[in-house]
Amino acid sequence: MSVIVDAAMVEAFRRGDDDAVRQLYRAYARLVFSVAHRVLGNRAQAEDATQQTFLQAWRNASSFEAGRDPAPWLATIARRTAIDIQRSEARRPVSALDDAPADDPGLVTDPPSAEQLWDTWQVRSAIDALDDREREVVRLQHLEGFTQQEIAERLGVALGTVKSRSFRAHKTLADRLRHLREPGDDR
Amino acid sequence: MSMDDDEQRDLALLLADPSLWLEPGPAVEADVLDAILAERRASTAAAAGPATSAVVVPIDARRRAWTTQLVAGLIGAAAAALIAVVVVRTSDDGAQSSSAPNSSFQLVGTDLAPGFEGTGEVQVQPSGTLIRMAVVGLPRREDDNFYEAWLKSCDGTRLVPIGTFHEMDRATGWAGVPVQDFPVLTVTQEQVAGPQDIQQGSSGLVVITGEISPCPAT
Repeated sequence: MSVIVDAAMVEAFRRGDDDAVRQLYRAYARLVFSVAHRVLGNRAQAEDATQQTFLQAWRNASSFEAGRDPAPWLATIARRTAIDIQRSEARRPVSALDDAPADDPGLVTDPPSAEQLWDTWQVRSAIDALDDREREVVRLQHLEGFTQQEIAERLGVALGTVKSRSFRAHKTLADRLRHLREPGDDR
Repeated sequence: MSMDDDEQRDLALLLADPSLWLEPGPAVEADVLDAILAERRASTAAAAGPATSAVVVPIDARRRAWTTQLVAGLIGAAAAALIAVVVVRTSDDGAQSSSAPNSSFQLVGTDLAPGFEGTGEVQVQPSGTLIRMAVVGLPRREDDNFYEAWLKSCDGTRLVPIGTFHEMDRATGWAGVPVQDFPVLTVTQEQVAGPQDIQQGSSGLVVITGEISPCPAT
């Protein structure tokens, strides 16, 4: 989902108009959150970064050029905001290395590159553009690790239905994301 | 075109990232709106401070100063506001005002609230017309004191209340009359009147005005 950010929309957003803020938030919050979570690996911190990203975008709205796609602009703000939070968390004292949990931000040194995070943004965007039923099949398959038979049982649909949804979804994703896969690129 | 094995493998690796599937909690949207509102409120309060003073004071103190100024100028300003109410554009017939469903309009502070400004929105619904008003930073009014919003005809002879409020940062009123016949919106400072004014009429102390649609030129 994207929104047309024309001059009126930028002006309304700059004024802090509730509807304009909501419109931009609802179009891009999940994408911003994905980027933040990719950096931070923590839901609460990613939510904090999402909030700060939109606040920062509002503060800098006058620098945004109307008519342009706000996605790269928001992605850049999201990345910087998340990295700032990560660094801030990393400065917190940890009693002993052995006591630190594996996902402790203090143990994270190198954040993902801007390119990697832009890829995350684009993959999330492609996922969000899928039909709801197709998206759920892909989620259960890749995130939850279910087999197609298990997905069929879980959703209460025929195995053939799961297979066809899965095929369509993967083809759509592959088509939309093919440009991310360059020869010799093993990201 | 079908996917080759490498393509399927790469796609599977990408899609296994939990970051791609999680969503921010529902409270984050409200947090964003509140954070922006808080900054707007702070900056508006700073901008609306006494023009003659360059000293930065806490918001509460500034609001006290604002109230003091208000009280000091109340008699003269009230008279001016009342005159303004009477002199507000006159017209032959408000019916020529343009209809303004689902529109937005500007709100500005009067001499009783100099420097304040905001926006209003109108949304016609079956039960009535919903009117959202957002004027950030006006001092909160509590106990027996409150704000009241009104719709007024262009000739100023008809006045309809649309709601009472503690503050105007985000206020929502409802009108059961056609806004094209009552296109002038005002917000007044009110006090619970008691037996001496059982009908609780307008105080005439207009702090905010706006036009949902322009009144015909006189």
